Amino acid sequence: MSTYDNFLQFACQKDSATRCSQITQLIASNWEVHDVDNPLVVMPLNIINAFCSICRQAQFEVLAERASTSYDNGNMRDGDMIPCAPSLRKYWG
Amino acid sequence: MQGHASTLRFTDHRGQPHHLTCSKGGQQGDGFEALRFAVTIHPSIGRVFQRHPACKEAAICDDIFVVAPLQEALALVAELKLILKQDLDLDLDVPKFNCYVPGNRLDDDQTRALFKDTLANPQSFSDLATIDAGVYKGTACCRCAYRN
Repeated sequence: MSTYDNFLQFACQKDSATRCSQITQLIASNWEVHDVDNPLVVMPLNIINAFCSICRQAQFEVLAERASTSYDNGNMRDGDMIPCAPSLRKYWG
Repeated sequence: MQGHASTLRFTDHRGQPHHLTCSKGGQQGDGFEALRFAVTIHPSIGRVFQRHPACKEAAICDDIFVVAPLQEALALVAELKLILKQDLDLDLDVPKFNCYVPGNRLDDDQTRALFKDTLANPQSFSDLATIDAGVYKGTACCRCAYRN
């Protein structure tokens, strides 16, 4: 599974809502070091009908760990590897 | 896979089964779907965040919280909106966005004006022009409704 220094996903973890909230508050508590003309902000984002709208092809390709089309505005191409947690392989094939 | 429908067997609250033809998404409430959804959006969102190192994010499935300086946050959200649509056919609900500004250095009017000016300037924010969000200031929910 890819890991990213500045992106944490808490889905399916114990006390995920509490931990997500605590992390968000912890990061936001650093607001004083930012310029007043470009202040630190917290923006909650919302996806329309997320679960029932997501592309199934992309879901399968993440589980299969290989892209069959271009993603990320062309930065990922057909045949590129998509790193995924090995523990998810038991749900596939 | 693309465009080919599968049959979803859905049982309602009376125990009556229904067969629904579906070609997109999964069943919200299915335990595995939450995991599969989170795993699918992870690389798409993560790659965008790699290009915006000043931004940080915590998420629970589709509930995403961006913490960043205002200009960088808007730049990231503009790119994220594009990538999520292209890669996963997901639409960010821009009019429902909220913006919390921690601290007390700006009053309500200054906060609204700064948000509006920042949104109006760079070309890349044009996709976010429909933001009709509440702008919140301080730790308490002091709402100063921002409207375009």
